[in-house]
Amino acid sequence: MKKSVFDIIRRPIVTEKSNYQSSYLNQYVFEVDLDATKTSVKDAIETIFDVKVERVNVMIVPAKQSRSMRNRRMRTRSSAYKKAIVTLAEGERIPIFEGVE
Amino acid sequence: MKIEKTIQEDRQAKLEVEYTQQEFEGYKRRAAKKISKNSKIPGFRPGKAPYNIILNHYGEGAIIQEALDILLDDDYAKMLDEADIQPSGSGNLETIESYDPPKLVFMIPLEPEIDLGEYREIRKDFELEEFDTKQVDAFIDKMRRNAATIVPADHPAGEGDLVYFNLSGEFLNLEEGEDTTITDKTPQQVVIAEEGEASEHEWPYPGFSRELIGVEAGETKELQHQYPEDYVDEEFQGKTAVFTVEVQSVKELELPELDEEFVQTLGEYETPEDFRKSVEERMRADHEESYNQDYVNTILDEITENASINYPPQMLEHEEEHVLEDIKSRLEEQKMDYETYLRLRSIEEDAFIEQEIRPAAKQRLERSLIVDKLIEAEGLKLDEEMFNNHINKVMTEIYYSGNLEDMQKQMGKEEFSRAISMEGFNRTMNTQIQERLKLIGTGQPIPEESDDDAEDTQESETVEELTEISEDIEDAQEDSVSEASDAIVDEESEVTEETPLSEEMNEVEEESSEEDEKIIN
Repeated sequence: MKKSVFDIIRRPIVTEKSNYQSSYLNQYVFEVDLDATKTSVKDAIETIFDVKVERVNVMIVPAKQSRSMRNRRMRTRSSAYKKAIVTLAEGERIPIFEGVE
Repeated sequence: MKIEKTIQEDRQAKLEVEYTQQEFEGYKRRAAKKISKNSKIPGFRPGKAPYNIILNHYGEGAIIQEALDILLDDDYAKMLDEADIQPSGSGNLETIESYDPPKLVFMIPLEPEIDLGEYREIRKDFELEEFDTKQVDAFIDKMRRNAATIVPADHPAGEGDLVYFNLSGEFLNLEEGEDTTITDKTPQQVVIAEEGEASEHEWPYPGFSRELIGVEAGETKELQHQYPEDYVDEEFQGKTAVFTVEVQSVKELELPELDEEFVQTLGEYETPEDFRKSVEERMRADHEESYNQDYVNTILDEITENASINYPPQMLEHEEEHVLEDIKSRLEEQKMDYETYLRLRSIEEDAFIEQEIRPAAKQRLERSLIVDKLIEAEGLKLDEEMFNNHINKVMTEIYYSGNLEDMQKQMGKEEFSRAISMEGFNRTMNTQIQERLKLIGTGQPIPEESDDDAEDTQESETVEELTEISEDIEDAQEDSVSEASDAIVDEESEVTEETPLSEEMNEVEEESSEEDEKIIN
């Protein structure tokens, strides 16, 4: 089954760093499906937000292990995910990052 | 910022302050920053989150709340400045008419307005009654009686003798069914009063003890008494009672001779003459002091009557709290709980405050306002010598009460010396104002030492002096303690009658504190 655009783009990532990127570099950061490719992310963003994407960088954020806060013996684990940094063409923007919606 | 000011009748200023959207935006930004500093937003270090993220996270209401807090903290002083208001207490945010942009309504208590009227024209006759040396004799007699030894008498009871007896009493001609018994064979003792000396509160009726003159041990005497219609105890009014007195024994008081041995047990006196002299001195001083006090109080009363006083209601509320606290602490001394006290009096707290606290507070407040105003109007300055004397006295008193170290520990050294110098300052000012009022009342010329500019700087000067002095005290605290203990030896005789510190806290306010006592009792 072909994945829909909403399956490819999982969620926007809002952190201090991504906030800097979106406000100064015109780059927007998303968590995407592990099987997503640069092209599929580009298509998805262009369809969903109706913007022109200039470039997409993707990377896999590796799974990490740490010990639980409550029980030091227990291991907790965060799974790996794919992150996409989408650079938009000049003048384009995605409003959800600015907290208007 | 737009300010609308209305000054109300009761010395309150109503301020309506309006902000523009732009001005408020700045406060909102600052508020958001403050919120993010104190909280964790995932993905951001504290204090680093941008405004819109915080807005999303916490919502607009929280930011506006915080912004108003900041605004009040920062701008309140500025508002007062701009509205040109000298507040006498902390203002109150009455209502917030709108939030964004904010429109606020404040109620701010102003300085009280006091017009003393023509107080310098008040004249009262100063008639100090001649001190009656008989009082000294009476006092010495009382001391002797206190120290008397009781020995069985071998003669019928006479004046000054002690009679032990069983007393039974019942009412006569009562209607059927009423309880006729007053007492049934209760043991009593009474000292037979001298002619004309009998107290009015004698039990069972005034003049009772003198009826026992001439009785002997083992004798039984029957007495009939008709109570007057206006007798203090309602139960007895207009009734006739019969009392049966079974005399058990008659004793006489053997008064100690007024000799050297006796006076030496009373204190550091060498001879009876010494003792007499010191008693007389003390009583004479008391006599004058209490007359002075009465005199000044009547003048102050008259000034209060003629003066027009206008103060904001917050001041009265504040004073009410003070009075209530006083009462509570006094109850605590009597090991009683405030709630229990109210229940005992079977009075609701609200009614109690309304009926008893408020008038007392009102009187106290007005009195102190008048005195403050008088000090200002007369341009009285702190008399340093007197101040130092008073400070020493305060120290001595505290030393005597034995709480010196406790108080120091409780308050901390700085606070303690501040309290001491405040107390000294108050007392000095009171003495000075009393003296001045005496001059006014007796119509004597008033020394005109106060220039205009001296009056202006007076307040700040005294405050400076106070801080200086309190520093001095701090430095020399050890010294003053030892000084105080030196003073003890000199003043031993005088201090026995000294009122404790707490009761004398404010002499001018004495009357009102008496009022409080009435409430307690």
